[in-house]
Amino acid sequence: MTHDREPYREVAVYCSGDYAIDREAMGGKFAEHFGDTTLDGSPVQFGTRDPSLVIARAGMTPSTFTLRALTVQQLRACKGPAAFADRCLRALMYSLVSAELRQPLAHEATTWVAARSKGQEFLDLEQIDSLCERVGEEACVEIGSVALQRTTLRPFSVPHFMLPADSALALMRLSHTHAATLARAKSDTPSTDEP
Amino acid sequence: MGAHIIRQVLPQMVRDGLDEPPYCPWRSYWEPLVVEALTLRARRDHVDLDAQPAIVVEALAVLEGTQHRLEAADRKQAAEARETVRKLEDQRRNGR
Repeated sequence: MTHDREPYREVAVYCSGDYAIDREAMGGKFAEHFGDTTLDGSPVQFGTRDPSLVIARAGMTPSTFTLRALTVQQLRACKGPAAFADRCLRALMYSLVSAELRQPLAHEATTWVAARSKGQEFLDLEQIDSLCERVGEEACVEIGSVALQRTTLRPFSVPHFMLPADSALALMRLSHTHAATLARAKSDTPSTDEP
Repeated sequence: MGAHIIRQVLPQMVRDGLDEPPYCPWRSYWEPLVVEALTLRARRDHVDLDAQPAIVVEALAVLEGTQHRLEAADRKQAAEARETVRKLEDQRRNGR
């Protein structure tokens, strides 16, 4: 079973594109934590979101985003927009509770707390704009996609809200995969230099 | 008990069109999400389902769907057993 056995409670989420996370040191644990979103045609798997798997680079602290579970009504509202990114951003607006922003994902280290108007369940547009300015829209979409993932039962169903194939983050991951494949192929090739 | 589950309960779950759990089915009752869904079922008349976590409501729907399928399978099995008994009794009567 996954670490996230209580998807109806709050969870702290990391962003896979955060440079403070040492992807090389994590190795296979990276995919285990964030899910297999390499877009290479292999079966897509959910990430465990287990914080103990995350390895930070020396002297750096990754940013964390605290999400609450979406209710039925909120999820219904999230399914409205046709575009994937808009659905994720709407899910983020409903679910984000706070964020511990650290460099280099954000340009300055701050504790960002969601301030919702009384009786309002989603963030104000100014707030989501300010967050997007600090960490970038790609990160916001990814964090929002986690909020959507957590509304789905597993392992009995496998719908997975993947980043669009043309997103910068997805392309970066793809290039990482290709680089890893090339490096492996190179190391597997017997050397011909020796007599 | 463990052998019974592996030889009979799990294959029966697959035959009934259910998902085969990767562990002992009884352990599912200790899963926090299942506990939460069962709790929600108990107090469903007193809460607004729209305001509950979507994942718990979905778990509840799956739980009830599974229960209905199992009850239907049980009823079908009982009906087949009754039919078999009836046929045997008919054969015995005709044989006399």
